[in-house]
Amino acid sequence: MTFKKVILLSVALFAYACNQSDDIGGNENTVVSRFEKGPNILSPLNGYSDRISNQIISLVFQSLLTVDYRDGQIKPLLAQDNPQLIVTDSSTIIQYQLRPEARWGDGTPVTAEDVLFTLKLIRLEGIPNELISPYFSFIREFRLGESAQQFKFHCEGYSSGMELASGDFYVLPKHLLDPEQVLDPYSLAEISSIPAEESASFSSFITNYLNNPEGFAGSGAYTIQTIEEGRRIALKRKENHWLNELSSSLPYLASYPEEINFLIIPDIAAALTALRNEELDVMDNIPGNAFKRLKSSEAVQEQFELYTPESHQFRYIGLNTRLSKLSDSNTRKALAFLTDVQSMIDILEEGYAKVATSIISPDNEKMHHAALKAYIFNQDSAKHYLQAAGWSFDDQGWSKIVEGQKQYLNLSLLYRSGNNIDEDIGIMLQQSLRQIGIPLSLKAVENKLMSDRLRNHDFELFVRSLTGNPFVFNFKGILHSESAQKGGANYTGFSTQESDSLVDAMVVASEAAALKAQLSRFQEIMHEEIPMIFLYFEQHRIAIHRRFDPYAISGINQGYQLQTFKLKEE
Amino acid sequence: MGKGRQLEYRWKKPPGTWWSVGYLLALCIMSVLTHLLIDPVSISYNAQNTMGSTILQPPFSTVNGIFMWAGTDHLGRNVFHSLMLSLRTSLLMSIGGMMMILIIGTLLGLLSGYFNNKGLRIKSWTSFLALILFFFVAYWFVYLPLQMPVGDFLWPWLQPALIFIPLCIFFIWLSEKYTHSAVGFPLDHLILKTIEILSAFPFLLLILAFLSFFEPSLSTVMVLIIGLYWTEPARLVRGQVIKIRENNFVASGRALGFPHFRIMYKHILPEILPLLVIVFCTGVASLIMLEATLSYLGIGMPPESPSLGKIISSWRFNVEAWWLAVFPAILLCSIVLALKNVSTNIRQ
Amino acid sequence: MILRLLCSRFLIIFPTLGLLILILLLVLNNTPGIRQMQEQNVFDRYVDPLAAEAAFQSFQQRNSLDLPVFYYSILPAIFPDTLRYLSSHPDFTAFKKLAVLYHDRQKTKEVLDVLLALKLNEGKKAYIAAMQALEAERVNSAKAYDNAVISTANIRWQHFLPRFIWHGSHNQFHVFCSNLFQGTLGQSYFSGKPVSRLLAPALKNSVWLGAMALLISWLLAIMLAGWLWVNKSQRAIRLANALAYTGQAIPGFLLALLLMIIFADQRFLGWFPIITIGYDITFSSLVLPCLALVGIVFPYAFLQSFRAFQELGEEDYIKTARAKGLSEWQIWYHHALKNAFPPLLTIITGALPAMVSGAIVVEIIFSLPGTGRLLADAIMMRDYAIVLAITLVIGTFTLVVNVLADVGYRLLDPRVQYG
Repeated sequence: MTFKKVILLSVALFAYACNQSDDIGGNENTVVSRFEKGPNILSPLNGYSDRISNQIISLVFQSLLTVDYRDGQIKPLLAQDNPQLIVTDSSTIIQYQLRPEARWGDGTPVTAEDVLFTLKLIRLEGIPNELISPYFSFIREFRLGESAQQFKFHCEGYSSGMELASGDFYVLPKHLLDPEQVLDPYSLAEISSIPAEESASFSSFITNYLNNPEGFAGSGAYTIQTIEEGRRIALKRKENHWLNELSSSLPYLASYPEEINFLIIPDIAAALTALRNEELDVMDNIPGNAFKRLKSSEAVQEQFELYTPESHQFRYIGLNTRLSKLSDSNTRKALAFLTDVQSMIDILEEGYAKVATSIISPDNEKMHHAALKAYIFNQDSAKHYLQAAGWSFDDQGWSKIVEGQKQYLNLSLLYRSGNNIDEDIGIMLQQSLRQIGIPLSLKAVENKLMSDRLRNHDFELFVRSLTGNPFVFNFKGILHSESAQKGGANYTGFSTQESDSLVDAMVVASEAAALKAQLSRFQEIMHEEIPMIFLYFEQHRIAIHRRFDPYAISGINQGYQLQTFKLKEE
Repeated sequence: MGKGRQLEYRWKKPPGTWWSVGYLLALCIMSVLTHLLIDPVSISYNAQNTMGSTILQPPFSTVNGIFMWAGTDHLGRNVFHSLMLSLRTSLLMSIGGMMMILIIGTLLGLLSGYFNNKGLRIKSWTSFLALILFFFVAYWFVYLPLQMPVGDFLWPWLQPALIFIPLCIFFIWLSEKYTHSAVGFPLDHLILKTIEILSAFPFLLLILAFLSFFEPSLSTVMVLIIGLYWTEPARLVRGQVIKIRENNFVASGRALGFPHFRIMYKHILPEILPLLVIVFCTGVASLIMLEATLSYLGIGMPPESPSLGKIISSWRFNVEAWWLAVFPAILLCSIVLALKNVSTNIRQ
Repeated sequence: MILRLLCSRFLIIFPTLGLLILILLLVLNNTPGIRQMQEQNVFDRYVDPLAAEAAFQSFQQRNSLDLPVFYYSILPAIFPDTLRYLSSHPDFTAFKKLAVLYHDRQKTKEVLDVLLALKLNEGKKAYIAAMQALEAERVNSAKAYDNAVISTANIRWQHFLPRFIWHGSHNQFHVFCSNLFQGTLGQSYFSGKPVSRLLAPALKNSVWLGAMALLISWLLAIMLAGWLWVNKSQRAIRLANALAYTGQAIPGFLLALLLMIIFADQRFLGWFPIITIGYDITFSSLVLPCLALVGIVFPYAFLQSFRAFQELGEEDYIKTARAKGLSEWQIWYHHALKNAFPPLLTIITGALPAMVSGAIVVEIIFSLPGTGRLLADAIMMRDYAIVLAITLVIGTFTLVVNVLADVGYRLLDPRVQYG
C-alpha cells in the first residue's frame, strides 16, 4: 500500500528529526541576542534611521563620536578628542582631529578624505541615502586641515546639538568605495547638483556595495559573517583590531565577544520561551507582566541578571489644540486630571515606569523641573476645570455654546493598531472619561497611516511614545510654531510667544545654567498649557545571562552594548 | 451488503438537533440582551486602589464581591461579560458574513455554471449601449467624486447625467424592442476571470494590506471579507452545477419548456445543498478563525466591538492565564458544532 | 489536443498578469503613508523641512515613483496634467481646489509649471523656494474657496468631462514590465536591494513548508476519509466530523503556540529548540511549523475528502466490484479513489494561495522567514517594490497551478472531454 509507505516514511523522518539535538550555545564567548524583526536596511547610510540596523552597523563601522554608556557622556571614537567649536554670529566651525591609530580592516589609516567622501555620499543623488541626508544638511563646507587627520566643518548658524550631530555618521572607506576618485572633482556643495545620468554607474556600484553587508570592511571591531535573511545575523570579531591596544585605557571602546549572533524572533511568547531555554543570552523590551514573572522565577534568576534602567522613552496623549473643543487649556487640564497614570503604570507596566510630569525624564535631575506636580486622577478637579472652560453638564453630556451652536464634548483617540499597551491606555482613559460623562471613541490606525493623519491634523487625541536623549534639548521640530503647519511634526499645534522664544533660545544655549532656567520655564509652560498629557517614562527591561559582565547598563538607546560584554572569570 | 447505504447519514431522528437550535437561539438572544444589560466599556478595576487584586484572577473566584465564572483579564475585566459581549461581533461577522458570501457566491456560481457562455443571449445593440452606460456611470459617479469635491457644484455636475442616462436607457429600450441580432453573453468567462484574478491574491495578506491603509472596523472587515471570499463558494458551486447539468432531468426540464429559474431552483439547488452545508459550516469556522488571526497580527477590531478572537489572542501576553484561551475556544467550537448539527438537518 | 489546450490556457495568463500588475500599481500609488519615511518616535534633532522635502523628492525619482502609472491617464478636464507631481503633497486636496478655483486649466497649469520647471531644471532648492512662495497664494486661495467667495456659476459641465493624457513609454507600468522581461523584479525602495535576493530565500522556506504540510495533511485526510468509507462505522464518522469542524474553528496561532509551548519549552517536553542556528533550514527546524500547518489545513482537507467519497454513493461500478468479491479496501483504492480524486484536485489547488497566507502565523511563531512575513513587513514599511513582486510571484504561481489543475482534471476524469 503506497499510502502506508508514505506514512511510515514520514513517521521515520519525524523520529529522526526528534533525535537531532541542535547545538545552540556554541562558543562560550558568543553572545546571542534577539530582534523582534529583521533589520530592514542593513546599510551605513539609510540604516541610520532604523534602530535595529543601527545596532548592527555600529559594530562594523564607526563614527567620529560615541556615547559612553557608563557616565552618559559624549566621547571620541574615531576622533582623537571631542571637537572644538568656534562659534561666530552667522556660522560655526567644528574642528576635528582623527586618531592616528585608526585603521580600516586592511590596515589603511582612516583619514579626513574618508570623512569628506562619506559626507559626499550622504548627499549624492541616485543612491539609497534619503533617510540620512536631511540630518546633515547643516554642514555647508568641508576643509582639510594641515595633516591628513585634521579637518573642519563649516556650518550655518549654531545650535547646541551640532557637536553631537557632526560626529554621528558612519565613516566609510574611500579607497574601497571610490578607487577611481569619481567624486573628487566635485566639492561638497556641488555634489547634489550632479545630474543623475552622469553618476549612474558610480551610483549602481555604491548601491551594490551597500547591499552586500558581508563584504563591509569598516573600521569597527566586527565583520558581518553570515546573514540568513529574516532569521539570523552573525558577526565575528576581527583578529587584530586597532582598538585592541587602546581599550585598556578607554574601556567604553572595548570589544570582547568573539561572535555576536542576532536572532530574529518576532513572536514575544516564542522569544520568552527561548530565553527560558537559555537559547538567548540577551533580551530587551520585555513586556512588564512577563518581566515580573521572570523575576519571580528562581530558575531564571539563577541564569539571568535582570536590569531595569530608566529610559528616555515616554508615552503621552497628544491633544489637537487647533480644535474648538480642545483649544481652552482648562479643558485640556480637565482631561489631564481624568488620566489615571498611576493605574496605567501599575496595570500595564507592572510598575516598571515612572510618572512623567514633563518632557524631561525625572531621572535627568539636572534638567528636570522637580517642582512640577503630576496631575493626579481627580474627578472633582476635572469637573471644576471643565466648568471653568465653559462646559456645562446636562443629561446628554457636557456642552457649551460655540458661535451660537451647542457643541457637545465627545472625543476620539487614535492609537497604533497592534500596540496593545496603547490600546489599553485608550480603554482605561475611555473608562474614566465615561464616569463623568465624556464619551471617547477609540480608533486603531496603522503606524504610518497615523503619522499621515497627525501631520495633516486629522485627529482629536492620540497616544504615542517618544524617545528623547539626555544631551540635546531641541524642541523646534515638535513644539515650535514653525513646525505647526500641515506636514510639520508639531502635531498638537502648541505654541505661545514665550514658548517659541524659549525654544529658539534653548537651541543656541551654550551655558548650562541659562539652559536650565529656560528649560524649567519651558516645562512650566507645557505643564500649564498641556498640549500633551505626559503619562510615564518607561524603564528598559533587560535580561542578560549571568556569565557575562556588561560594561554598563543605562537608559541610552537599547540600554546595553553587546560588544562590551565580558565573560566573568570563574 | 447494505453497508454502503449506511454511509448516507440517518438524520431522520437526529438526536441533538433541537438542543442545537435552542443553544444557538439562546446565544443570539444572549448577545442582544447582554448589550442592554452589561456596560460594554466597563472595567471592574477600582481606579483608586488597584494593585493587582482584580487583574488576571482565575475562574470561579470572587472579585469585589462579584463571582467571576471565567476569571478576569489583564485589565480586570470580567471575562464572562467579555465573552457575552463579543458574541455579537463574532456571530454577526461569521454567520452574517458567511450568509452574504454564500448568497453571492451561490448565485454567481449557479448562473455561471448553468448559462455557461452561450445560454444567456443578449441583443448586440443592447450590450453595446449597456457598456457605454457602465463606463459613464463608473467615470461620472465613482471616479469623478474621488478626484474632486463635486458636491460643491451640484447642478453643473448633475446636468449631463440627467440628460445622458435617460437617453441611454431609452435607446436600450428601443434596441430591445426593434433589433434582432443577438449574441451569447460571456457570463461564465466574466465570472471565471474575476474569480481567477481575485484568487491570485492571497486573501489574508490582501486584508492585511487593506486594514493597514484604512481604519479597521466591523463594517470595513465585513465588506472586505464578503468582497473577497465569495469566490470559493462560487467556484465550488459552478463545478457542481456543470456536473448536474449533464444529468437527464435538467435536459428534460428544458425540453418540457420549464423556465430557467424553476430548473435552477427546483432541480439544481437541492442537489448542491450538501455542498453548501459544508461550505457554510467550514466558512463560519474559518471566518471566526480569520478574525482571531487578524487580532493576533495586530489589526483586529477596535475595542468598541469586542470579539472572541481578540480575547483568545490576548492570551499570548499572559500565557499563564489559561482561561483567556480555553473559554472562548470552547464557546467557538460549540457554536460551530451546533451550527453543523442544525445545517445538516436543514436539508432533510 | 491536450497540448493545444495547454498552450491556449497559458497564453491567457499573460494579459491576466498584466491586469494584476496594473491594479496593484494603481492601488499602491493611491495609498497613504509613503511620505512618512523616517521613524516618527525620536526627537533628538531638528530636521530642516526643506531638506526633508528634497530627500523625499530624490527618493521618488530614484524609485521612479514620480512617473505616471500607465501609458495614459484620464483626468477631469479642469485639472492640468502636471497636477500628479504633487499627488503625495500633504496639501494635494488644496491644490485641486486651487485648480477648481481658477476653473481654468491653463492658468493652474502655469502656476504648477512654475514649480515643475524649477524642479526639473534648477535643482531642488529652487523648487522648494518656489513652493514656499506659492504657499501664500495657495493658503489665500484655499481660504477664498472655503469661504465660497467665488461664484460657482462660472463652473460648467464641460469642466468635468474626461480628458485623455498620453504619457508614452515613460511610466511605471512600462518600467516594471520591461524590468520583468530583463529578468529583474525591481529593487527595494529603501535599501536598493534587488527584490529577488530578498524573495528567493523566503520563497524557498515557504514552498518547503507549504508543500510538506499540504502533502501530509491531504494524504492523511484522504486516508482517514477512505478508512471511514471502508469501515462505515457511524460512530467514527460522527466523531471525525465533529472533530474536524471543531478543528476548523481553532485559530491557527493558538494551535501553533500550544505546539511551541509543549514541544519546545524546556519546562515541558523541550524536544526542539525555538530557533535552530542551523546554517540552513534543516528538517528538524521544519517539523514543528509543519505540524502546526498540518493542524490548520487538515480539518478542511478531511471534510472535503469525506464529502467527495460520500457523494460517490452507490454507483454501478462499485456494486459490480463488490459482486466480484473484492475487499472494501480494494474497491476504495481501485474504484472510489479514482473517481473521487479529480474533483478533490481542484479543491486542493484552490486552497494553495491560502497556504501562503495561512502560513504567516506559523512563520511568525516559529521564527521562520517566509513570504508571508516578508510581505507583511513590506506593507508596514511601505516598500511597495517588495509587495508588488511577492504578489506577482504568488499570483503567477496560482494561475499556473489553476491551469495545470484544469488540464489534469481533464486527463484524469474521462467523463469531461467536452465543455
